[in-house]
Amino acid sequence: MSWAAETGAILKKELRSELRRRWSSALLLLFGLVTVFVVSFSLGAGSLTPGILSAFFWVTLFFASTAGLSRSFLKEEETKTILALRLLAGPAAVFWGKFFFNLFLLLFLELVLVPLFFVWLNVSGVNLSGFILILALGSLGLVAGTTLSAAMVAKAESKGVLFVILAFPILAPLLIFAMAGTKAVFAGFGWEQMANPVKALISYVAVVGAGSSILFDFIWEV
Amino acid sequence: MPVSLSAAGLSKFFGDLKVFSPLDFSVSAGEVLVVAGPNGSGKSTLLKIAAGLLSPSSGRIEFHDAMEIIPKENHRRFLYMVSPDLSFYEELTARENLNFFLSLLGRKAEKVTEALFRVGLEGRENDELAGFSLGMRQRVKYALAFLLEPKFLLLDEPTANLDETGIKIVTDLLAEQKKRGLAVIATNDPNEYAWGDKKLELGR
Repeated sequence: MSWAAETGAILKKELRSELRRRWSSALLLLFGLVTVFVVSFSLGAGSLTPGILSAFFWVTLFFASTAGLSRSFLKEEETKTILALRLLAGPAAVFWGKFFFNLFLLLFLELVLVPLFFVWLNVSGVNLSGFILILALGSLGLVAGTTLSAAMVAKAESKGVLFVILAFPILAPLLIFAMAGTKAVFAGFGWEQMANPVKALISYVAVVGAGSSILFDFIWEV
Repeated sequence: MPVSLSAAGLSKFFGDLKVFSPLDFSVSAGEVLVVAGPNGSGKSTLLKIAAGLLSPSSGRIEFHDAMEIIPKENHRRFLYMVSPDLSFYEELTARENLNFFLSLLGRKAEKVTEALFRVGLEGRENDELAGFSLGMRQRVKYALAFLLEPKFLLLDEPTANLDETGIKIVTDLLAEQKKRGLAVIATNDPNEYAWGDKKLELGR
């Protein structure tokens, strides 16, 4: 059984479960949409600087992720299905199956949220390809960090509080780099000004992605 | 090829609380070991340690196939456990659950209908487990045991929630298991002691 086929089986199971129960997607969408709507309604379109816009954009994604993506392992613990998974699945396939499912969920949120964010907050004149690159790198890092944190927290007591406490230090560097890059994009700067945040994001994704994959084996072990 | 299981100096503590003292036992191919003892004596904990779901505080447990120790990362290909603590996905149907677990091990799903028939769930294969009783859910776990045909079978409270026909499923499975490998049963039901060739009494 190849790693890819086993990962695919877990991803397929996650998607099927989510389509049936909508545990995470509803939470992600609700949190993201309500936050963007409330801020745009209270502050008014066009009144925010690029720095504030980028911070607001990534804070929304961060909290939506902590609310929705943290469910990936917690749900398995609560329903006692984690034991069956630990008995019959390989750790690498579990991590990457959950990783790709969380990435799918985040992309789904972004597909809905980003156009509304641009329209409601009157964001224009951005370097669109630069924005997509930073969003893609930021999403990969966000998902790697939250998937690992969710696996750690699922074994602990006081799960809700612990998730944010654990996830924040892991994700703080990512948020700083992503906000810097997005600020440059929203300010209408070119690739030159985005180079450093993009390099930092690539490094972050490589380190946290590889690190999470290795660390997960130890977390999954007893 | 003959299989066997051996444990040496196995103990478990949760913090300062001792669950069981160092245990030594072995089970050979064709044998069924019954682990007996009162509530809280560590029967389920011992089976979870054997299944790799818990770590022992000391000692080791080894699974052998043709005299070779099976590496821990390969245990899932040889070992299966039925336990009240182990649940399947209630939002998936019986067939989807079985297909999923089979696919994790690269096994084909061609005998799923037959397995569900063997556990008396014919006609319910496309129903979500959410609508199943506890006994029916237990039967789905046994259907997976028939499909996986593990060399090492661990059964914790094997007849929990099962009716008379459900108990017959367990005895049929054990008869098959003795031909292909070995089994360990954790129970405090004296009627089930007779299923074992050996008995390990905990909590003494």
